[in-house]
Amino acid sequence: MTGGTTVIVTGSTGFLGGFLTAALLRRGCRVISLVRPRNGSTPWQRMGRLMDFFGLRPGDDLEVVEAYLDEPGLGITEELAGDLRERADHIFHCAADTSFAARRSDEVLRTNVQGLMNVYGILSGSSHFHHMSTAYAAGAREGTCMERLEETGAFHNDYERSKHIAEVEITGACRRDGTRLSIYRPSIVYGDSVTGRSLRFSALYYPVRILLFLRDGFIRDIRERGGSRAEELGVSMGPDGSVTMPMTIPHREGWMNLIPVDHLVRTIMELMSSGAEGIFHIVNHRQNTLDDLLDLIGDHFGLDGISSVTGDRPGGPTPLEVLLDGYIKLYYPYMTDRRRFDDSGTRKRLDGMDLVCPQLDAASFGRCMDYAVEMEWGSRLRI
Amino acid sequence: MSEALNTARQCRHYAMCKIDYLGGGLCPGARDRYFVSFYPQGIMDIYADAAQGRIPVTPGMVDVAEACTLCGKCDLQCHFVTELRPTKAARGLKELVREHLATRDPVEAPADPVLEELRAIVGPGWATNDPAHLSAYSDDPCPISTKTLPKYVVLPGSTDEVAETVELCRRRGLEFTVRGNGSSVMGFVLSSGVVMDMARLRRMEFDEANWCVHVGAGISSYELQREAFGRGFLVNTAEPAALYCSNIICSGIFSLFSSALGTGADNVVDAEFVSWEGRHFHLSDREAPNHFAFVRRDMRAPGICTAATVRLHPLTGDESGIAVPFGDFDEALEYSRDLGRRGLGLGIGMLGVEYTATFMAPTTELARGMRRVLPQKLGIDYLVVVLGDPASLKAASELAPAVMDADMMRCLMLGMNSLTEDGVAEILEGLEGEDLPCRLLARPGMLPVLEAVLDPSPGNLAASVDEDMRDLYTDIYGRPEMTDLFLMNVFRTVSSRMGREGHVVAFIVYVPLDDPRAVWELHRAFEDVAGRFGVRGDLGFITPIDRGRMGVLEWDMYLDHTDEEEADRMRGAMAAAGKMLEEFSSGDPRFLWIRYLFNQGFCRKESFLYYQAQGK
Repeated sequence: MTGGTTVIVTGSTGFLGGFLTAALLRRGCRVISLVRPRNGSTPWQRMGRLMDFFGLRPGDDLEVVEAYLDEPGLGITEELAGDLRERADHIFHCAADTSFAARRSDEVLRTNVQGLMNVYGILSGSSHFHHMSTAYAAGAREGTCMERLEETGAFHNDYERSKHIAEVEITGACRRDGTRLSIYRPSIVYGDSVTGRSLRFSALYYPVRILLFLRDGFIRDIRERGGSRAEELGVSMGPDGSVTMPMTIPHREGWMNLIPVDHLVRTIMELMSSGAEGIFHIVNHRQNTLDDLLDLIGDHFGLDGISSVTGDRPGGPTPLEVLLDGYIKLYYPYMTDRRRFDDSGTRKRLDGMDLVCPQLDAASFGRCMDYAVEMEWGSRLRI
Repeated sequence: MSEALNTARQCRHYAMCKIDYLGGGLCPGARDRYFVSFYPQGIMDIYADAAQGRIPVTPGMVDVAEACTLCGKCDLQCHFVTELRPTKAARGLKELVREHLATRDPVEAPADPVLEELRAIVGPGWATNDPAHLSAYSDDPCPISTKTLPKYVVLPGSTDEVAETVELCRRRGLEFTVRGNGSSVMGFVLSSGVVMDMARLRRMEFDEANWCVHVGAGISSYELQREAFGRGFLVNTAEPAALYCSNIICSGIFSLFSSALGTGADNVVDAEFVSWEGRHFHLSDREAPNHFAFVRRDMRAPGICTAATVRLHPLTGDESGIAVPFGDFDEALEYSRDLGRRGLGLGIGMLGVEYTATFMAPTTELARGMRRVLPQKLGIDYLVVVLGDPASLKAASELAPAVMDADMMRCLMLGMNSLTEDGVAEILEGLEGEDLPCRLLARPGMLPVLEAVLDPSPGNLAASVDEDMRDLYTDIYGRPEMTDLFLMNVFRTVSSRMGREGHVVAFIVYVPLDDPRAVWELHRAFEDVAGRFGVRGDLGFITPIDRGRMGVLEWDMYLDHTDEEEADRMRGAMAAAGKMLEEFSSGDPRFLWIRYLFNQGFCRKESFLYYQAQGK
């Protein structure tokens, strides 16, 4: 990647797309962001807030185009589409719907498959097409997942399914048209390991957020209302302010594959610069376990009583566990994962570069979570 | 426009200021005066007309202005359903009258021989042609009606006086119309001749031995229900401020209780009428006209109903309510129908989000928050409310995918302020399990968790209203009838909130519940009409009747009736909805628009629900 390269980016106002857009601009690329208006904000206002977040003051090197990826023509004129095709050296498709909820599966499939193919259909020309996928497009399985398209029919949710279908479809289309294609498969991405900053607070943040939400509710109940509800559920508060919430989380002796967004972006930038094509796993070889995470939460936030349990909970879930399950059950496959991701292709491409993925530790966890709390889990960060 | 005039023009004419539904007492200025002019509703109309120069200051207006004590009772009553404060208009009227009287006398209405004849019938104080009083009977918020000033307003005190007034009108060639509580949601109660107000026919005699009550035409549904309930009985009533007899004759009474108690003639033991010729008759007379039959065309009322004897239904005293949440129309409808088929519950209603949110929330802002939270965060698109004794609720619960019981509903209502906060709403949104979030929250044992999070209490809910009203709201929401699903439906204290954000146009249709797709198509057709005309609208409710074979569906459209452009769009939407309904029912006669029941409320439900079976 060199200065002057023109990259069309979708999903710039999202988490990964936002960090990627900032990195491209910092490298001197010209970025054309396809953005839709949202919540009364224009695409330009949204991108302005994104630039403020990153402390960037782009000039002509950032161009914002109002576009709607769910429309076959992206909601742009043929003339503009032709102009974009002409100018783009790379197209980076980051836009995605990351919901795991079954009730939203239609939207997820539409956004992640149809949206991708709309972008490809309208904008692909001689440019290099980059697709942000996920390591979990491999589907529900155990063992090692390779950096290639593999047949699979089982998925933990429709998000995984949609990303798998999207990979198949974009690969087929690019093969047919002779388009250069790179597919990036990150594992679970969290905030910047150095600064703690993030644009989204889902995935790793979800269990922390719900636990703190419940903790705060019980603290209010204990301090302001006599604590009868807390007592009923076995919740107590120590003299030091620490709260004990008796809860267990089912464990199947797997692990969590977590990567910070700074590592993801650095890796992608290097892969893009190398001109590499193919499928790339961007994962962590130093994995965390569910127990690690519970320890980090307990130590950082003064929360006790939460532990993992192998197999079913004896006596069934308590009301607190029902709620916790409802909130993060869809994440359990990723918190106790038994998949391993072969990334030999990626490592081979990056051979000689100092790109070691940092492990989530107490320091980086603290930075990321403190930032999330400061940003009120995103309420103060509307892009 | 002054704040006082703006307030006055916003009156919804629901007459909630004429019933003591909050227990704080009625407007003292209106006591024993009966004319709607003396109630806040009348004061608002009179002030709006006077402030816009439509009527002069008259002796009647002076009486009205002087009668008002500015006690503020109406502010709470009106605020509770519309967030309006009528004392602003009352102060405006007092000021306007004071300024006029400082320099001039009031303008007397001209002497009128017809008025004298009317007064000879009803007494000098109960007939008037004073423009101020006429103003209070000239408005009808129905968007297709035009403000019409009558020549006379008459308040008969007996059936004989009604008959004599009718006879006089016939003799003088005067058109007349009969009003219940001052106006009606349906409209069509305007006349350029005589408006007869039934408010003085106040007879209410209970015959508990025979499980019935004799009700005069001036008794409101609320008054009747409150008295019956105190005696351990339930009456199938609908809108609380509607006068009960007029409500029957208008369309027959349908409510959530109609699933068990029926509609039309089901609850009528007898009724007393004055025919359009001025003749008395009772429905039970062998020679009486047959008002139990149904004719599928626009019909005039069979006469003036001056009293009715209606059934009392004994209560067990342990009735309560549950709410069953659904994200799918067909599932909710099938559940409602199934309950009807099994004869479970004393009342059943499938409510849309608009109804649920609007009824639950004490303010517009909270209602808007709930309209967002219910479907988007909790996954509730429809709520089936089931009312009944513990045994029937247990059976209904066993058939339900999830149940929000009375305690949980109370928690959600009193915790609404927290529930609609961004932080909590986002947490709820994170409930991405395979089932609806509301079903997860409805699991056994979840209540203390919700209570810890939402901190439900009357005081917390009251924090959403204006500061000077908070103590009053705290007191009101501490009462069970504000949060208990059963009592909320018995007294219907919150149902008038449907008009809080503007006036409502309600479309009522009898629908075949055994064909959920067809009912869904009708729902979509209404959505299409509302969408085409840019009118806000939603499914109100569907209640199964006739053991779940049929249902009564209400679909509502909302407008600011003081906005001419909006009223124009509503007129268009009403015409389009009417055309759609005609097409719908001509293609499928199982659908019956209530337009064809209008004025036939005393007919047997079998006459219209089994219309085809009669070979008609």
